[in-house]
Amino acid sequence: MLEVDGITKSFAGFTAVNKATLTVGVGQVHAVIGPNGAGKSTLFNLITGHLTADAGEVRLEGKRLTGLPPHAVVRSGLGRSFQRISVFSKMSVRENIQIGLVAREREELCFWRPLRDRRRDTDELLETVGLIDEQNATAGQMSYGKQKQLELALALAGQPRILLLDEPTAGMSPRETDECIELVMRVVKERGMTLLFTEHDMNIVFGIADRISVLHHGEIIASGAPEEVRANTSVQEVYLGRPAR
Amino acid sequence: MFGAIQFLNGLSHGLSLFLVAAGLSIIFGVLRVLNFAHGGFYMLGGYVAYEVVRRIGMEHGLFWVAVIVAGLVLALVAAGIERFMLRQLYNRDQIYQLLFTFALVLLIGDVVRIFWSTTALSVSFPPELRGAQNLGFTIYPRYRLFLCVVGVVAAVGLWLLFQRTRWGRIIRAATQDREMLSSLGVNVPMVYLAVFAGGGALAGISGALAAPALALRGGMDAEIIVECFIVVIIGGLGSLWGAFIGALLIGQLRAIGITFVPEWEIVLIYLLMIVVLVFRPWGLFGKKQAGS
Amino acid sequence: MKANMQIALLAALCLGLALVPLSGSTYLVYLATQILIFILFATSLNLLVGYGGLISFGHAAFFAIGGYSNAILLTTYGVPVLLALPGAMVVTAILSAIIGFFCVRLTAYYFSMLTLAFGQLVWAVAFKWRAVTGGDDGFLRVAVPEWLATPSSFYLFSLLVVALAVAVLWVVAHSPLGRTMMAIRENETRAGFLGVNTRLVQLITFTIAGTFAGLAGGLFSMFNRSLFPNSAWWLQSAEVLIMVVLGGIGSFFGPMVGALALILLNRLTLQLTEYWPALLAIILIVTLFFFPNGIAGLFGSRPAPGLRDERGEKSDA
Repeated sequence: MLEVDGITKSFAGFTAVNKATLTVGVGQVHAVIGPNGAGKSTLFNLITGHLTADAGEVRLEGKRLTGLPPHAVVRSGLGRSFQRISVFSKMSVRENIQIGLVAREREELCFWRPLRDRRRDTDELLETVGLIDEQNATAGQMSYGKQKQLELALALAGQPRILLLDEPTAGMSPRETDECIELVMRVVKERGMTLLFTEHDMNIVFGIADRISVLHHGEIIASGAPEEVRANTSVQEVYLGRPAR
Repeated sequence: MFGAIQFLNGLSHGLSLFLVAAGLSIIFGVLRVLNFAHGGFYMLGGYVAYEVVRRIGMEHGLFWVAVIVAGLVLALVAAGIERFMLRQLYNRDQIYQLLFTFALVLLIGDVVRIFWSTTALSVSFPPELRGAQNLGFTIYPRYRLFLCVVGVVAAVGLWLLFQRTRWGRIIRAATQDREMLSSLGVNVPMVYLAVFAGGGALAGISGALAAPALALRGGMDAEIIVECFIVVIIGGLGSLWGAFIGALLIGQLRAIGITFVPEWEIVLIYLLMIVVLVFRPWGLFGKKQAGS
Repeated sequence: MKANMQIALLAALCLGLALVPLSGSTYLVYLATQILIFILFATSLNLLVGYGGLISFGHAAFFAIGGYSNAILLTTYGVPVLLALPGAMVVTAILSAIIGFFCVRLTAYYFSMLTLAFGQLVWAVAFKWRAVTGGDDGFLRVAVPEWLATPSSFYLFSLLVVALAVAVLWVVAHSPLGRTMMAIRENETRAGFLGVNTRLVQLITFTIAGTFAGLAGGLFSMFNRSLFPNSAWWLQSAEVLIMVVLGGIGSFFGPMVGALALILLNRLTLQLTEYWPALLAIILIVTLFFFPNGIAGLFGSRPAPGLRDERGEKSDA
């Protein structure tokens, strides 16, 4: 489904991601793990084209994504969230969702008639992520957990075939974390999506992932089923030497 | 025929332009404020120099006093603006900063009108630089030659300042990563004040030096700021080296334009800008920024 | 419901305005016409500034392009006004699309620099292309058709045109495009990763804004019966920008109030001071520092989403 081929990125001489290669199969739940500063977010931003890669290439269902502007990447069937919350914080939750729906229907260039309400689709998405009661709240004034839910809703708005979540549970309480993971897995199953995510909580990763890639100093040192990765000696070294938070 | 004289005209124009554009670019690099009033500072510098010369004359090197006074006055004006007004807008949306410096353009333009009316004024060449110099291959006005020398000296001086001094390192660090500034243990508000005042002084001195070479008149502020914008767009916003190359290119292009398509030379400059924007949107020496 | 109220109120306002010529005062009719034209001009700019957060310092360029195009079509080619005005809009639309292509490519800073630069280019062309524009002598004796020759008839014509144009701009502001512009202003990265082609949205908005400024310019050329390069000069851009800011950035109707207020103030102070730009600057600075949401903000209008608060950080993830 998604192929990342030798992608590389340096900042001012420091190589953040070095020749990273991984393949995500259709319907898989694929986790990218690694200690802090391993380059997980950078890798994510490279895959989605938010950062420009120095070398390498990303393909989605055989189509080259590298070099495409964000909107073209999204239109190829990819949805993403950001580690740091990125929503339209001055708008209401409902308005946030509406922007997502406008974009999904490629209606953003329509200037000849007022915005349609899209009540049904909006409600459906709001219910999916459990924000129906907060629909009129100003996005930026909601609790952190709620904003994370909205972040997820925006990633889902374009009905992507592959969902990329960058630390979906970062900063959440244990209860919020469980709810969030449950929600994500439910939506992924319902919609038959492929999921690629980064996560620092090893219990979650080994609980839900079909495949795991381990990133260390910008390089992928292991990739495979959870048992293989757990048994891998270099992975053990990385995590024993510098345990994950 | 495009010859040595035209080349020198272009060079002196380009180097003078660099002085103004450098200030604009440094201020943007450090403060992330696009100072529309920079052209106003330049114009005000010219008028201040005119006023000083009118009062004390320009014999015995007094013209240089006028230039220094212009630089000091503009540094003070810029410092006052930064300290008491601009500073309050840093936490607001960038459109407020843009609109504020734009309001200053209007204000400075009228201050000049109030004190010096709207008729064109001129400052004569300082006595020690009157006349022409025989360069062997051509004869060229001394004052314009002097402007070339000043431009080169200033460019080298700025380069040394940035590469060799603590202040220069701080400013370069700030240009690359503003958050790094406070972690360096630097008094950030002080750096902003100094950079804005320094940029103002640079513009004031440029205006004063330009006064003998061209007539002072209302509207010169808009002319120079548009030229500066084109310089930094061609060279890359925030890049000193880019401003240098951009200014030299424009100087030469102007000289060529005046020779071959008089009246329409300005169009050539815009064409160059458009070509750069099409092929290198971030300018010849600019860095592509994230999110676009 | 709220929108319906607004529309009813506006329709009533238009009817009321149609009665102005009954006052019998030519001066009043003249002043009201000027205000109408600038209401359209300011509202078109507000689409960029208020909804898109893009500060154009060269909007007058399109006012002038529309004005000269209309004047040339009417006078030089004898085209009837009902074709000349749309023709002027087409010309302005094409030129604003071309200029806009360069202006929206990069950041908001580049946008501001480039709009000023291109505005001054249009001014320089109007100034130097004597054969077509009359240069600084101006384009004189614009051929206004017989049926628009009296102040009252021209006023009523302007009222109709401006009302229709403002209605169109209202739809644009409330369309998916307008809403997406606000989203881009607030969080461009997020908008892009929702699948919005952010540059194209901005370019189309820029073109629409330019086109309607061109229409205002076309009206102005007939109103004044002449046009000068000054109409493209940056001071003209500054004036209309200040109308928008004074009225209230992001409020749809604020800039109309701003246009009204500024023109009346200009009339009042014309005899008192020749330093109009300084007065404009002071108005702008006071507005920026003390009531950043303009006149509309004083009446509790919601500021545009995406404008950073006093201490709020704009998200940049």
